[in-house]
Amino acid sequence: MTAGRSTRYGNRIVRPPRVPRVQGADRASGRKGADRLSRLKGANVLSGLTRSVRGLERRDDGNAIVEYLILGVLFLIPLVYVFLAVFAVQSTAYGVTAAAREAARAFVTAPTTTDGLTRACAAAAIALRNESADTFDCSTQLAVQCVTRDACAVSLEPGLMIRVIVRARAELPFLPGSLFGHPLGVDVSAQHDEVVDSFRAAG
Amino acid sequence: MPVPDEWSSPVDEGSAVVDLVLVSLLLMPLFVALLHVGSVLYVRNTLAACAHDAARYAASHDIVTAGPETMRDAVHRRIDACVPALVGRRLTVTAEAERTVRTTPDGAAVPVVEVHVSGVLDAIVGTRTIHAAAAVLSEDP
Repeated sequence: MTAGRSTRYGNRIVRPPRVPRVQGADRASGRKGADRLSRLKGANVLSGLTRSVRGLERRDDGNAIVEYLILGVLFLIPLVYVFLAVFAVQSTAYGVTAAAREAARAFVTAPTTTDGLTRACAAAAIALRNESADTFDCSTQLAVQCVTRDACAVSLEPGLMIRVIVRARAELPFLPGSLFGHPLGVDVSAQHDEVVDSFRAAG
Repeated sequence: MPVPDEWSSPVDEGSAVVDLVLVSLLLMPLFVALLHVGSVLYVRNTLAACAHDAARYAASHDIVTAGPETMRDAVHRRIDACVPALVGRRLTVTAEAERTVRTTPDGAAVPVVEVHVSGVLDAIVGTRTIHAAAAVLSEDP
């Protein structure tokens, strides 16, 4: 009877008894891990040592499928959060870009600077309200500068270029500010340059 | 002949391929759902930006004073040009434009052009309707 092959005696199958592993017969027994181990450690290691190492290995064996499933789900959850956060920032970025453009356009169509600021504030607030639900504070989030002059003239002369900067904060989802003492978010800003129309009604 | 106690076959070893298939059946829907969430969020942001762009165009003086027909045509043209080709093939967009009045934070009533866009996204699983709206200060006096 050769090792590693079943032999039929009458009606019952007789499997070959396993020969001691230290003699390098693991290959025939079909235990790949043990075979690799004994090959790694050499075939002539003391049988007691081999057996204790193999015992450790078997106790550590966990189910790879369970690990794969749990880790897969665990890594998907942060990915969902990243998606939500990134798209919240993108939405706010679109919003401030639009608000800056609106405010600049509203400013240059106004007859005076004071009137223009009021109109710019209204335009930015209306534009941004659709993107994010929070309130818009014109005194802190909206800035109008003159690009070509040191100070803006009281009446907007044709050809005058103004620059509008709108700032907003994209709140990170599921992270309330009360938990960390200050609101967590990403600051987003946009600027837009606009020229006062050359042909406009005298203000 | 003595009966060795190690005769039992190694029943603990399953087929790795079967395991992988079973686990993938659980994990793949999650992954597809993630892609779905991403595409819906992306389309919503894109539609909001396009709605705003269209409203901006329709609120310019010449168009808003020409009447609702002109305004609607302008909005449709603008939306069609704005929705990127990547999304456009899987997205059916309808848009409405109207001129209304809104109150600003300091209480003044100002004329605005409002655009409502809804897109039916032919998503990975089923279809999904996504709404977006934009309002822009109207330039008519």
